[in-house]
Amino acid sequence: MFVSRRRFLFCFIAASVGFGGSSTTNNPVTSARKLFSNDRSVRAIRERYVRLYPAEADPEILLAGLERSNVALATTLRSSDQRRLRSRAQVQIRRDFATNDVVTLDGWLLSRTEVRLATLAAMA
Amino acid sequence: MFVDARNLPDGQSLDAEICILGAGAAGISMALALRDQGFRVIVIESGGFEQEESTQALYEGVIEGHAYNALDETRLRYFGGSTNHWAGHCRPLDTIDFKARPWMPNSGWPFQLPELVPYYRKAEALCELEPFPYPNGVWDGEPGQRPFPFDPNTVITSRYGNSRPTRFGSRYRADMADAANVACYLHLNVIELETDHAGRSVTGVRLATLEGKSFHASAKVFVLALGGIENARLLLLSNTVQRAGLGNQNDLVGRYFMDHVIARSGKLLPFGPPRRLPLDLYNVGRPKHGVLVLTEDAMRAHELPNATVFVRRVAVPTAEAVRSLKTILRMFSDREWPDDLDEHVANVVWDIDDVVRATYWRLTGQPRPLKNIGLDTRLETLPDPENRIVLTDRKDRLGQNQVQLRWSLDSIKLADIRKLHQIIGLEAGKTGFGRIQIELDAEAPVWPERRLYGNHHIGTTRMHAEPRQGVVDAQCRVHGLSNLFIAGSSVFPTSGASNPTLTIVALALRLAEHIKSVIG
Repeated sequence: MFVSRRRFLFCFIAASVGFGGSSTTNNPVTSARKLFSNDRSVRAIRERYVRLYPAEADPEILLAGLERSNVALATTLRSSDQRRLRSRAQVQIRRDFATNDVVTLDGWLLSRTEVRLATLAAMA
Repeated sequence: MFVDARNLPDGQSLDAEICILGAGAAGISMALALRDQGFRVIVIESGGFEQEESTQALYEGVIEGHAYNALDETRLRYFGGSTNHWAGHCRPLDTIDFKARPWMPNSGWPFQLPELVPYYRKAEALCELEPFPYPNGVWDGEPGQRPFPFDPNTVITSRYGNSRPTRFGSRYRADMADAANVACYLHLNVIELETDHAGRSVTGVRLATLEGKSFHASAKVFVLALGGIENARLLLLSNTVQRAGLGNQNDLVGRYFMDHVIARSGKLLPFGPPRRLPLDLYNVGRPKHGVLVLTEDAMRAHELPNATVFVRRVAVPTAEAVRSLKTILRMFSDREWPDDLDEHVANVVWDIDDVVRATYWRLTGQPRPLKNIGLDTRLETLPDPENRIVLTDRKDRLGQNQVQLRWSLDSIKLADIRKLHQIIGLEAGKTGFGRIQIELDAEAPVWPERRLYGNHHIGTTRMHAEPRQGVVDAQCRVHGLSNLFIAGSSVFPTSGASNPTLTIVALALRLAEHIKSVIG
């Protein structure tokens, strides 16, 4: 049976960290959540984003999108290394603007990565 | 010297080598450049030294199309002209403004910026400005200031200058009075330009006061310096020989009217404590301040017209912040989320960025105040022949047809303003400087409520080497007429994104020099 790399990565993460409500630091949602200090704000971002891109309400698809942009970033999401995660996120955010990989939410021009990370965080 | 025409005997003839019609920035600049020469100059001015209701009413007209400022309010009809109420903002045109641009129909001047630079330098003195660099490119501000750190190949900070503002009437009244070869006739209105039978040269001007006295002026050379609307109006009114109006054999007089609009177009959310932000450099109240502009390469790459983006510091007022908080709390209890995303964007992007994590707001533990910077854009107006001045059947007190301005905002593309802000937004994000909000809807952009017209009346007797494409040639001589010239912004083929006064004065000084050579 062929298992896509994406699906494998997601299952690996889920199995390793008990995805779906686990509070361990290897949970990508939890890792993403630790990047942000404000619940309401990440939920507001998520609400706007999934209105435009409904498919990315699915965390699997969301993670796959992050991985397509930056494999190292996606991998770091399942680690407990918040410093490295933040650093890689910032690099990718700058790259998003350099390559015009941006989304517009209520007129705000934002990096797709920062919006995806906030959306992921809002699933916590 | 000054002469009040109301005190002259009815029917008197005025005679000179050069007759300048209008004493605003262009007319006064020309007269000053022609003083102390071996020929006589007469200047004809409708008003006196102060604004008068009866004279001002001669500017009344009607508007068709999009809302526009009343025509008798956008300009002033007395000695000094509209410099009596201008704000003093000055900036020369950019190099690209003179070029023909394939993505902008009807663009291109018959000469390029270097031709005008010597006259810009003289114009700076008349407008009492600090000198500009030419071309007016990257500006790093005053010592100790830093511009926004964007890619200099894409978005730069360029300089604006503020005149006092120089009121040409009061500032140069004494100079005009002392000029031995210049006589300025006040309270005297131009009725019609007269020509020979073939309509090839102007032989004289019919003049009149509001009180009913009539006069006639003759000269070798005539210059219209009446303003962007009146220059066209007078040509259209002078239709005894050329029925369509003087210089209007190709139906161009009055067409291509342009004005600038400044509209609130976006917000910039910067990162970093306010005291470190280089906002003072962009303060429009300073004698010199910066604006954001695209480079010529960026304009070409994106096929955009020119634009100047003004930066304003905006803070959420305390009362508004309190109202916002109450709204948020109420929505919480109703299980709704607030509509305004601004604060959430600030929280999210600031949280993820190390630069901001070290700010004093975190250290103080206080709620982060929202400090947005407002962006106001002046986009270059596209030359559209359907924006035009025409004559109506309504008459003013002198019996002259009033004008109608046919005006559409469609000549200023909101989609281009959006694209411009996307470019700035990419730069802000790429450099880590901040985030941009574009305040124009993507699907159906509408003009913001907060917009201001510049009252810059441009283009109605545009310049072009070919008579089929312009009213005046490169020397501002009316095509088909040997001795009629035009000064002022009505000759601009394109508007650029800069206030026009400095360019008006530069062109007037250039024309004065040309006329000196013509007169010999």
